[in-house]
Amino acid sequence: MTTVSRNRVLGATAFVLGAGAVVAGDPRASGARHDEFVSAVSVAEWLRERQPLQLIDVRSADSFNEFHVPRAMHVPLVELSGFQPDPAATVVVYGAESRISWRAKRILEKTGHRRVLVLDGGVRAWLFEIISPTVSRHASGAEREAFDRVAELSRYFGGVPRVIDGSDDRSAASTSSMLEATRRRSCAF
Amino acid sequence: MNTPLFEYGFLSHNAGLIAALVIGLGFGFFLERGGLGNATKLAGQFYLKDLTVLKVLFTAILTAMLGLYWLGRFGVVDLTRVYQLPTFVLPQLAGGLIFGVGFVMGGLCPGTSCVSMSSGRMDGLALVGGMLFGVLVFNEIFPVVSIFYNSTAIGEVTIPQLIGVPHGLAVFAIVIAALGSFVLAERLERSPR
Amino acid sequence: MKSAELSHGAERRTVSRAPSRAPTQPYMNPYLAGVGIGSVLLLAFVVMGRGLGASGGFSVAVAAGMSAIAPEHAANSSPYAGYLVDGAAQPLRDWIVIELIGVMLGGFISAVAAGRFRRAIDRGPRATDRSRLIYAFSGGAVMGLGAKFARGCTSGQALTGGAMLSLGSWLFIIAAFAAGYAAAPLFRKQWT
Repeated sequence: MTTVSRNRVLGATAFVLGAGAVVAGDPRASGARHDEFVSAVSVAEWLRERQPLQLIDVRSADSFNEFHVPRAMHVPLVELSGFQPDPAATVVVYGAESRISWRAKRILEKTGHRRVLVLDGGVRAWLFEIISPTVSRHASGAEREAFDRVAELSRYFGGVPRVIDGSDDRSAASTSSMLEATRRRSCAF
Repeated sequence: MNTPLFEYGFLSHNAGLIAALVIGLGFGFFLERGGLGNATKLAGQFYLKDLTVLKVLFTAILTAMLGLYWLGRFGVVDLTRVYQLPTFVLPQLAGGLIFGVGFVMGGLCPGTSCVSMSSGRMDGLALVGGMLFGVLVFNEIFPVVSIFYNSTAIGEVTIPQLIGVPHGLAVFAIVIAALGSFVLAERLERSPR
Repeated sequence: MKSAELSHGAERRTVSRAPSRAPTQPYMNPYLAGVGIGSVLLLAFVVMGRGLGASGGFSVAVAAGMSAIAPEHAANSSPYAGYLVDGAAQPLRDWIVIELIGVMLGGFISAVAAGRFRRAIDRGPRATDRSRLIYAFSGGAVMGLGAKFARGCTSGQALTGGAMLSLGSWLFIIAAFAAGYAAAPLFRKQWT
């Protein structure tokens, strides 16, 4: 195949794939596992409403002792295969982030429990959304309303909601700075 | 589907690093294959002599963009777990302008400078040194520029979201624009200068 | 040398299998190279859930260096501290740093295989080695600054963000190309 005809084939392929994309629909819809993730806010609300919930922290003992979500129980990842979750409760696993939680979820589901949920974002999400929720000073009315609802939830768990200037670049924030906020008030759960 | 593999817990941090090495190997290999480790070739695009960079860059964007769209559409990849880049309108515009000037000045970009360096080129090494210096300068002046740096943050916005069109339509538009630019590039390179 | 680098339409020359030194091969069809890079980027998305990067690795290196020279300053200054894990530098645990090591290795392998490895300085015909090195360093410094503001470079923003249709990334692409073309007349003597 000559270079020119090869280039034409490449171009035609791109055109066809692109044209197909116009009618094929939303690429994010198929893979999403919405019903297997639960947000930190939902977990917080369930805890406050005293719903039958079994929260499992799969991190190390040191991490658990430093900070854990209120009323969570500690079952490190390596001990999970021998663990029987409560059949009557909604089971939520969490780790430092979502990734390890998925391994935990798979282990638990193998031992026959109907469905295990993953805390989306792990402990970090709890710290960012419940303990240290922020809203920009320039946020819209709807964003402020949503923030006020979360702020009320946050204070219930001893968190410190804040209004901030500019953006809060959290990708580089360390969990230790978030944990400082929890030490200002004690969590009496 | 349990992909991205790393995000669904199939890979440890160390396995992720091995993946980084393999991915980097492929990246560097194809960059050099295409001649992007050569500063005169890279800079040549700004004088409309050699439009290789445009062809390689936009073909790569097209390949990954179409691949991501279709893999997502058929549920092979969970796109909600793929890290979306946040947009900071003014800093990224300003950063782009500054970067573009540096690019035509230095003839290489951060990634290609590594390829240039490992191909034995001393100018690649000099550029790497310059980049480290530039980052150092930024870090030291950060208190002065931090307000601008954090300004106009609008979150993880995509072009189709901004305009309010389906993602696939934007994909097609970019395909057309890229293919058009390729046709133009071929004509420009053929014309005597 | 420009003669070996024919642009469009060049067919592949057969490479002689002489044992001493392989002649320089022509570059790969740019569209194919682009498909190669795009496939690698796609692999990164599928395996890691993230794209490529380059300038981030330089930030890690600078933070690690500052942490070694002036640890207090590094730990207390947020642009450095953000790349440190509890105040300590761990560059070889950073994904982009390892990726860049791979980039160097991959480039090296390709260059050697194609007979293009050469201790040399790539420059335009009217530039001197000295001026080239000075401009390379200065251009690098300017790009380092620009990449920090933009949160990335051609790999992280243009390629990765471009493929994801991220707004800021496309603003970066347009701005970078526009600025490059606008500033090109100033550096004619370097390249033409």
